Amino acid sequence: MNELDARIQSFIEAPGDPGPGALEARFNALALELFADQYERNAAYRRFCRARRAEPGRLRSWWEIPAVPLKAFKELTLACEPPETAAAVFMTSGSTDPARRGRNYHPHLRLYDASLRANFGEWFLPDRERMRLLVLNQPADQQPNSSLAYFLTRLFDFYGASGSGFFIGESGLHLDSLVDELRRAEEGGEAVGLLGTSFAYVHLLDALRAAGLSFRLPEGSRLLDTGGFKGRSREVSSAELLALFDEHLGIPAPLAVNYYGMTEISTQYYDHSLRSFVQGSTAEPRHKTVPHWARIAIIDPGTREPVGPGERGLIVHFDLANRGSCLAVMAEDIGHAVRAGTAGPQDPGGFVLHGRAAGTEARGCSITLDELLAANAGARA
Amino acid sequence: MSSVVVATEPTRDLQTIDGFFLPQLSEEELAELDWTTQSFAGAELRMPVVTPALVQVVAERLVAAQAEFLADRPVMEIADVVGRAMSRWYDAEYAPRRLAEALLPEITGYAPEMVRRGLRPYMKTFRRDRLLRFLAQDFENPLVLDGFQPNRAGGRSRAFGPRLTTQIFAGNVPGLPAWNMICALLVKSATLGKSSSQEPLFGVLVAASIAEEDPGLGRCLAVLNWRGGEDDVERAAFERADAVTATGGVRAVESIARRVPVGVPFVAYGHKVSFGVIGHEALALNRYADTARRVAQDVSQYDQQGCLSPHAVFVERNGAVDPRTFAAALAAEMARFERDRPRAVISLEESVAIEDVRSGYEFRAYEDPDATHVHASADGTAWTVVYEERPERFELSPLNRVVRVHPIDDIAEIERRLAPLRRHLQTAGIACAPDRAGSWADLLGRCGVDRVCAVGQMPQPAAGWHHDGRGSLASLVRWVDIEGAAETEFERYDPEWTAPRP
Amino acid sequence: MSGTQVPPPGPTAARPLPLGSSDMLADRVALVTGASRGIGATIARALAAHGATVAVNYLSRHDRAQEVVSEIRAGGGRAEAFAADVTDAAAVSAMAARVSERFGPVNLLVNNALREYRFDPLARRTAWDIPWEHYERQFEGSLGGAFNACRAVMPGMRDAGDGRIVNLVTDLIERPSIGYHDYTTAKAALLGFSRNLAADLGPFGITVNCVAPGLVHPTDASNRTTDQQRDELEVVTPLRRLASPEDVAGAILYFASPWSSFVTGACLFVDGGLVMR
Ligand SMILES: NC(=O)c1ccc[n+]([C@@H]2O[C@H](COP(=O)([O-])OP(=O)(O)OC[C@H]3O[C@@H](n4cnc5c(N)ncnc54)[C@H](OP(=O)(O)O)[C@@H]3O)[C@@H](O)[C@H]2O)c1
Repeated sequence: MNELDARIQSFIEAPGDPGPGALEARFNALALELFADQYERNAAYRRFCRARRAEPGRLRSWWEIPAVPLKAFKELTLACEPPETAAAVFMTSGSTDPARRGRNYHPHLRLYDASLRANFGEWFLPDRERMRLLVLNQPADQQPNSSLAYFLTRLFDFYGASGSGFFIGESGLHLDSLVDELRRAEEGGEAVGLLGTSFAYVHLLDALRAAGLSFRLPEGSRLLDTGGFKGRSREVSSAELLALFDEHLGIPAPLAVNYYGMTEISTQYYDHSLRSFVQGSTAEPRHKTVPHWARIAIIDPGTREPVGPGERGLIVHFDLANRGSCLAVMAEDIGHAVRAGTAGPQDPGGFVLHGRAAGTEARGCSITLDELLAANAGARA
Repeated sequence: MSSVVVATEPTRDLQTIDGFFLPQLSEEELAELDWTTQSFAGAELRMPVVTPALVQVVAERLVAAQAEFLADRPVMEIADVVGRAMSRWYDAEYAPRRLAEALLPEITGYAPEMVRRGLRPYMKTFRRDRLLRFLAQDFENPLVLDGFQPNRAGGRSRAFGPRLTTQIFAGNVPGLPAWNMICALLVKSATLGKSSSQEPLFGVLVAASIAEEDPGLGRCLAVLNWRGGEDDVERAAFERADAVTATGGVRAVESIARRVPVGVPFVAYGHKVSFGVIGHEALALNRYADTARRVAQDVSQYDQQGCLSPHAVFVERNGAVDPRTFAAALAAEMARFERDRPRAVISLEESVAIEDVRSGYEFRAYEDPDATHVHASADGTAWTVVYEERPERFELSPLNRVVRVHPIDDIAEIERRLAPLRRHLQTAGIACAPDRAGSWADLLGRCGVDRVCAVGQMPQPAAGWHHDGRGSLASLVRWVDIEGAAETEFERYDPEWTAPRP
Repeated sequence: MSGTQVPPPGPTAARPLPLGSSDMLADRVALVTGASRGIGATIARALAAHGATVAVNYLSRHDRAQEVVSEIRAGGGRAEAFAADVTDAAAVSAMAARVSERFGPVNLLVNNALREYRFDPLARRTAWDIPWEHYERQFEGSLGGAFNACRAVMPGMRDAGDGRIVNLVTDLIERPSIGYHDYTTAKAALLGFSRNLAADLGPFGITVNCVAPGLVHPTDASNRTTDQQRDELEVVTPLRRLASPEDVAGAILYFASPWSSFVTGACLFVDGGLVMR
């Protein structure tokens, strides 16, 4: 951890003068400094930047920092330190071929942790220090290359009150012990927090339904979920999921917080719903929030220019906590920006995530080779 | 975020235009239909809401009109009428042409200049003399469409077209519905056309100009729009038809194929893949820049949306300029085409697909800069030329003006590379010396290609082309043979021998 | 979150920039040969003032090249000095590779370097005694140097589908007021070379043009001309003065800018109207 890291960390933890101009200036200065550092130390990224004629000293604004596409994490070694010295290597899931998995190298996880803590407290636990956390995921020691497992395990470490635990192991969901815990909570009257992926919840809800079980968890109980259903056998819309949470767990919609995160970055973006609810203001319409050490730009990939609020565009991350690789990352997700104040005067604004940018039929005959060959197999003679 | 300005649409009076063609219905009947509109930047298309009942009525009247105006019409007369109707389009002041030139760019997003310059030669495909080529291509003696004619087997044959063909039109390239409708008319079939929501206008304009020339023939054409896949409507549309054609993507064609009743001939113009092959002769120092220009036209015309547009070009290595230099020249030509015929604004997903291709090759170029290079428009995704020496396999382009250039030592190499695509290949645009063209065509035909043309002409198939390897007319007709032996036998029943003498 | 882009402020001027400043050339990586002093140094400064990143080439005067670089940087511009003898093909291609590594491929080349030459109107060699070797030396310098530099940057320009080459010639090729046979002949050859290049590189979106200055004052090369000669030249020049290095740099800016994107194979005379064509 060097001197720049230390300054970024203190910026994450205590941004100082909260005036929007001052905050923006500090963010900009740190972003450009971090960019210069990553440019110097990350050879593959330097090459990427040179092709775009972007160099430290040449850029005036964080906005101009070249954002690497996710593909770069698969095809290049985007590391500022020798990869073998990394404290953690988080890999994307999906591909069976390990060589085709994206990798994010972290020389240390202090900034990751700082980002995680500053955010989680604000958006998930604004009203308390700790809570009993029931995690529907494997712990990090079982999944050393999963950023999700690391994230959830750190939440458990930092915020888990006694009685917290993990309820998915190598053998799958530990339904019985989880049901015991839920029942204990229901009877004891002490609020609990559930953490997991949307898919794990679907699995749980299916199991509860099959067993004819449902719970009214004590007031203040809440739930954090993330992620989509890509490649899974079953898809559930987020509205359906919210209704099921209420029905089977007794967790009202505003207390079911969804967050958006990716292996390739080091910051998570939470729904503002829980915090708004706790503050007594409206939680709708729901959107994600952007903390002060990150920026989200919504761009038109055709022109690379930002689009207006409400307009669909591609999500680009600028994340000071993403120290080990590149602070600017172009996601493959589509979203739209939300102006501050949209959901009440306290609302800082943010963005709405629509999902992955793939699979829509284009104007003409655009199709991938695999689709074409697959289609051919099923056609009538 | 407060500094982001959201543009407001200027309000403009929209011109309302008929987005349907239904001469079979009276004013009163039309007035009773439910109506909807589809709006574009410069106009609003008025269309009836299509119900199974409406389709049934229209289909019945089409069949009746076919019997009245088409079934006994000599084929040469039909060619005359259609030829005359289409010749109206050669006048730049012809109102439907002006309308098409004004509105198609708005509807499709294609550059006005590109539409204008694409439409003009396309309509000439239907000049009277070229319509005769359509006929000659498929019928040794086109008079078989009018009556029984001697055949080689010693008997006589006649070709009957469908009474009614239901045709699902494509919308990716303006103009295609004209081809479909005219082919049907030449075999004396009425057409119930379903226009594409992407481009619902052109078929209507063509039908109207045929009706202007000959109202009877016009009564044999109807163009409607419904959402593709609407089951009950399509069932009604297929029920009365003697044949069904569909031009469209894999998914659309597959879905229609499943629903066409068994026994009804189904002609599918499905997803096809085209490419170019450049011989060393076309890379001569006095030719290569022009060759690049032609390839750029082939790729850029209609933003590569047509099945006729090349996904990739194979370039011979032993030319005066090497394939890599050719790729650079091609890139420069792509940029020039973009200047006056800019690519349409594309969707987010399409842009992402292009960025994805570009970045993949960019990263590969880091490893091996000599074998891979990406030429790309500077701001945005307007055009992309990828030079790739050793492709793992033949990849399809995400379209919208993205083309790959692969060097080859010998054309024989492409046979293996194209093997997986055999059933999907269509046009090969080639440039080589005349004495090699024949053997190239042999090889390309073996690969699965059904059209060999010159580079620069890929988007404009010649009149009469065996579209997707079949006769556009022949695939619609049903043959009836009178056997030669029968005719001899019939002699036995000649009244001379069989009638009692008075 | 402010998603809007702020245009970078132009370089702040340490001293007045006679040719102004902008970020018009922000996408240019310029290589100016012989930019340690004289006209080349002025060209380098002017390009940088308009946003270009400049590789300042020199032969031996590192201090002078570094001075130009420092001056550009002080003004907020980007530059670095690169030594290479333009008549040495290997050295030039190594330089191009270094520039490319540092700044990205060169997309603006100004062939300005001039091999040591004594412009002494009174001690010049005459047609009847100049040896062939003198011609050869100038061919090697003016033409060979440009050839080497062009060859080195051409692949990058071709790959980018974009490039500008500007070659410095002289108005003496049209109006040999003083018979510097070897120098002028080599420059005339450079003009022919440039036009051929323009024809061949056009298809790739690369332009090649020439700038032909009249006598430029002050420069080391024009030092030996006498006051009287300069006065005489001013009197016959329609604009009635000599060229300044800035006058030449202005023409270079034009050929470097988007304003000349449809001009290639041209030769622009910057001599106050002495030559009109
Ligand atoms: N001055 C005039 O009146 C005039 C008129 C018409 C045209 N021009 C043209 O304008 C251009 C510049 O002239 P100038 O008077 O400014 O020249 P200059 O003052 O003599 O400067 C010469 C420059 O070229 C460099 N150089 C010399 N030989 C070189 C080599 N072999 N490789 C690389 N660099 C080399 C020198 O570097 P070092 O500093 O390291 O030696 C110096 O930077 C020339 O092409 C000339 O023909 C000049």
